[in-house]
Amino acid sequence: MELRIYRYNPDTDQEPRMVSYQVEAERGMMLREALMAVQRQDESFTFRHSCGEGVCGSDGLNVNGRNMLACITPVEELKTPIEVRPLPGRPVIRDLVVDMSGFYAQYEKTDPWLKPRDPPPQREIRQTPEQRDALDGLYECIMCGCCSTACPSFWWNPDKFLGPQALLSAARFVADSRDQATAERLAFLDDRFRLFRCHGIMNCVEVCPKGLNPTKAIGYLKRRMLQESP
Amino acid sequence: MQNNGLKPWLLQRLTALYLAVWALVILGKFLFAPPESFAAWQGWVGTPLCATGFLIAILALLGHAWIGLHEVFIDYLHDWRIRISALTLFGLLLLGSGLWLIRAVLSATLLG
Ligand code: SF4
Ligand code: SF4
Ligand code: FES
Repeated sequence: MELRIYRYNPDTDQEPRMVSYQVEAERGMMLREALMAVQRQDESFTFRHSCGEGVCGSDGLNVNGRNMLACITPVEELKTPIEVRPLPGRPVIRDLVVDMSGFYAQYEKTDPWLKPRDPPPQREIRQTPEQRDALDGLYECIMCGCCSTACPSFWWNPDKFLGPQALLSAARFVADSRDQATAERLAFLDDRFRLFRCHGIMNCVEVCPKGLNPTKAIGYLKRRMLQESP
Repeated sequence: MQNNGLKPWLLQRLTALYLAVWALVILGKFLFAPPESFAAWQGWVGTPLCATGFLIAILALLGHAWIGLHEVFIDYLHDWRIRISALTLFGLLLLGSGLWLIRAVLSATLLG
């Protein structure tokens, strides 16, 4: 099985190049394992990975033109040669490793923590089953970045538009019955860039390896804005 | 409107809605009671109700186009000087066509 992999070391290479590798396909092999086999052939080849089971979000990659997690992508489902590139639009540090700090910065802007106003109760803050259900589809994000780096609006304005991941996170805290900063959160998003650069292209939904729907979350935020606005 | 995201977004949708409804009205007119001559058409446009509908449609169209262009420019024109120039150019263009359309409707009301 042939893999064509993006190789680039900004310190020594003039420009990036695609390099072919041959790897013995095994039954049930995931792309991450194929990349590890490549690494055994060529130790200088670099990529991020950790958990190997789609939980840590480290190995988001652009494979045959689509963003996905290497560790949960069976190679037999991929067209060969398998073209593997770094997530689009991010500065390349080396080979498939990109600088995700801008992506994290957008997440941070959403204040991704509960902001209670009332004094904390003696024990836990209780939720009804319905209130808990409202978080489904919002809290499961593993921050792999597959969505935001597939979003054209995020490519054009990565520092001003929050991107689907951060907006999903914003929706997660607006939807949380324990959070008491909804007005503040919505006011922050009511701006030309942060949320409203989204044009509903839905690339984010298309690629999310966790099956989440940032576009729906963005629609939810707009609806809440409409409801809360005087 | 500069630092506000919801208002232009909402306005974009409301104007679109009005334009869709008004387009249906015009379509209905041509399908079910087509004017026999240009003078008849002008007379119809000139009736107060119709003229008001057209004037609102013109404003909606201008607003819709302006917000839409603004959106596209924000997406793609990152240098503020280029963006302001493009906005000014297209703003004047829209204003010019708007005034021309308004004049056409008003002259029809004067005829009628
Ligand atoms: S929403 Fe999905 S694609 Fe986006 S960062 Fe979270 S898990 Fe990854
Ligand atoms: S729906 Fe919005 S956030 Fe998702 S890819 Fe499209 S523009 Fe980006
Ligand atoms: S290695 Fe952890 S998500 Fe793929």
